[in-house]
Amino acid sequence: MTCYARPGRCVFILFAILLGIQTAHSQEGTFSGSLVANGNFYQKDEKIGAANTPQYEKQLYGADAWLNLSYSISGYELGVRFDLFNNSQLLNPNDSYTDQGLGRWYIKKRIQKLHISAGYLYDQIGSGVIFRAYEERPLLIDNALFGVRLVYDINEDWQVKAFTGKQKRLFETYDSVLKGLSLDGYVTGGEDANWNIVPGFGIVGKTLSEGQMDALANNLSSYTPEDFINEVPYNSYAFTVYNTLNIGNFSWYVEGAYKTEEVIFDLFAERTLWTGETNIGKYVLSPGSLIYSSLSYAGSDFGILFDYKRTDKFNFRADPFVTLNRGMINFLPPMNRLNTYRLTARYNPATQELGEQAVQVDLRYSPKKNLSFLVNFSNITDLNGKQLYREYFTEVTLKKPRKWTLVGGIQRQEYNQEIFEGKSGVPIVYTFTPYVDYLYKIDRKKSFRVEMQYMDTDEDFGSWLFALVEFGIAPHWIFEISDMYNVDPTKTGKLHYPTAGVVYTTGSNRFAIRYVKQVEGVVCSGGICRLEPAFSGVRLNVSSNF
Amino acid sequence: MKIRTLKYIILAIVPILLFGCREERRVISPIVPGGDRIILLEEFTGKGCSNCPKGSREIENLLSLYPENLVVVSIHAGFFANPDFFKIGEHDLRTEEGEALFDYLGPNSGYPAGVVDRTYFNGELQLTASAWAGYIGNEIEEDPLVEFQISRDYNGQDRTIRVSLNGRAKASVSGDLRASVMILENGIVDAQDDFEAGGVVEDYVHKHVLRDMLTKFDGESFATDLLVGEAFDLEFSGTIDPDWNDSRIDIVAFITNVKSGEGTFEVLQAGQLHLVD
Repeated sequence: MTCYARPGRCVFILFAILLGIQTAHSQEGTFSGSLVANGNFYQKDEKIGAANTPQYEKQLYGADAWLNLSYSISGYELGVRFDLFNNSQLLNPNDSYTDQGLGRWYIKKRIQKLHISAGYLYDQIGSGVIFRAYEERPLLIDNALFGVRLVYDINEDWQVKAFTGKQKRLFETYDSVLKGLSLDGYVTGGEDANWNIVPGFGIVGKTLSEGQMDALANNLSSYTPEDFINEVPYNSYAFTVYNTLNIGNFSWYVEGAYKTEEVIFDLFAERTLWTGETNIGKYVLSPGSLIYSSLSYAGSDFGILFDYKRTDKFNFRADPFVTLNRGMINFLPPMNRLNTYRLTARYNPATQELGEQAVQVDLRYSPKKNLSFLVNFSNITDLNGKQLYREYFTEVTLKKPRKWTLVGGIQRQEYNQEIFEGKSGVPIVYTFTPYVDYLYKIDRKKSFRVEMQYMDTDEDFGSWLFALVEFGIAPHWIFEISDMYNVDPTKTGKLHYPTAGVVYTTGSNRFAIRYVKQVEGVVCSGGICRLEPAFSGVRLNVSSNF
Repeated sequence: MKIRTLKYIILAIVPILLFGCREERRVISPIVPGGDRIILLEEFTGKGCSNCPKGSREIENLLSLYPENLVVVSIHAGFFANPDFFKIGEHDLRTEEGEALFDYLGPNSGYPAGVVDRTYFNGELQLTASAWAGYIGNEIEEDPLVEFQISRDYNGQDRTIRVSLNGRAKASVSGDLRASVMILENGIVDAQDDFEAGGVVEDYVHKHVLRDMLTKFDGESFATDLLVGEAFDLEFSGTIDPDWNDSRIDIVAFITNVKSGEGTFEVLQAGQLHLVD
């Protein structure tokens, strides 16, 4: 059934099935849904670089929306999602993308110990390093598996899962076929024991289509003898073994993964051309591996987390020719702190799938109920020891219950902009960013919040000052106004990037309108990042759950 | 044997059955260029794009590999070609037609991007540089549906030019058949951001740069059907800008088959000729 060409027919058939089930069981089902809609009105501002895209030059307006509907009855669950992109920047921030249609449908049913699912499915194995079908709307990642999944409960503690299908590509699918199998369990020492383990094992296989292989073979056949690859497998497999060991307050997660030989694009490999010149980047036939471990201790007033990850040629994509955020079968967890303040989150390291060695340590200490300290350190290098990213982050939180909360700290970063943003000849960005966040509760309903951050750096755009004032009237209103100011600029004049907005929440509906001037920067979501150009204009957002 | 033990044995065997078989790998043979097909590669580039010189090197590599079967046009258009945003060098290498083609052959998902014969491969039109060779190799294997000769009449005094395309169909073709004629300049010395050179190279040599078109950006319609052996003769004229070095000008022509209903506009055959001998 071609749901892209005839989405209406698909929806009709799904709901016909649903009505049939309802009639047969004479039961009332449960409808639920959600809506997210964003509208952007573009106002050209060449001073900040918000120009030269179709949206600023001629379209002036863009929108994205997702409407989810699901219905459950008698152990069945059916769902559809309508996706809309009108003059959207999500696919490529420098271009415009317009399309709309049925973005997802699925049917699920449980028959005793067997769970059956078909359609567009989201799922993962272990931490996702060999397979993760997921959605990150801010980056227009929708890697749903379009296929069938069977899950069988062997007993209360053990479960086996198998799936097969193709990966979604916007409103179509990639040609390669994916299949997978996993086994997940839970073992405890008994009722009185203070330990348990949560082991698992998974395999994912990818088979290139004849068309993909023809294109790949034609590509490789053009290589010079120095780089020539004689034969290429259609199938590649990724294996993973993982386990979480919990003993009292300690928890240790470890995962090891291996990917069999396949042709991948190595961005850093040198290729000899027929002209005698060399180019950086070529297809290589290589296996991959990954080790990921996370050890934590969570006490009543003290907690520590230690993360380690080593990645070696672990890009696993649904098509050998796609790059950036496209066609990713797996997900490599980020190893840096996920910062939330505007300036502390300005420089974010994207996960390096070809080669990365990363450690992170996170310490939390709460000597009193109203006082806590946090120290975080992360360090990322390539496999040759070249520094990619380093961050020291500290935070102190002081509270007067029901009256005020004060959060403050300092962040220090070293960020390899050349690697993470692909900018040539730019130096390492060194930042030093103190910040403070003060929340004051005026009464039971009204609150007042102030954020101040200062980023000191000689690189990129230079130093920044950011201030935000937010006034909340619970449970409905939030008013906010902020400004980011280039106090010591290196590229532009001293520019202001003001933002003002109102958020209104009523029940499960939320409405927001913001006037925004936003500087160019890297936007990351779940460890996946991309460079976003500056924005100038008005943003509307509506979200609803029902 | 207990049923439970049997279950576990089956569970252990299933992965081996599903994933353990040995496959027949695809043997790669070195390419042997040949045939009559001439492929058009339209590259979208910009002086502010630091990875684009890598694409240019790949283009020269492909031209060395397919000297008789490949025609390349470098179109400076879009974000990275805009001098308002990337203030490097002296010249604005954008053209009105190039900007229109950037939209017509979109969406763009990164630079450098190349369009091979205006054909969708795996649903993608604008391809990354690493994918060009493969799809050019795919296209070359197909025989051309039309063939044509390019001739030109150039007056070096007033710099007027008349370009003729004389061709015939090698198979029956139906659709909106259009001819496009592009004027390219080679050897333009101007700045270019180059990642591997560590920044802006002031005296970078730009090749195959689209300067003008003698037709509309999306081609001039000349037939809706061509039968096998049916001939066509087309003529287009224009003027070469006095600022361009006419000894470095190339004329590129190609025939496209536009099928609006199917949303396709594939190039059937391309050709190239120097403006002056």
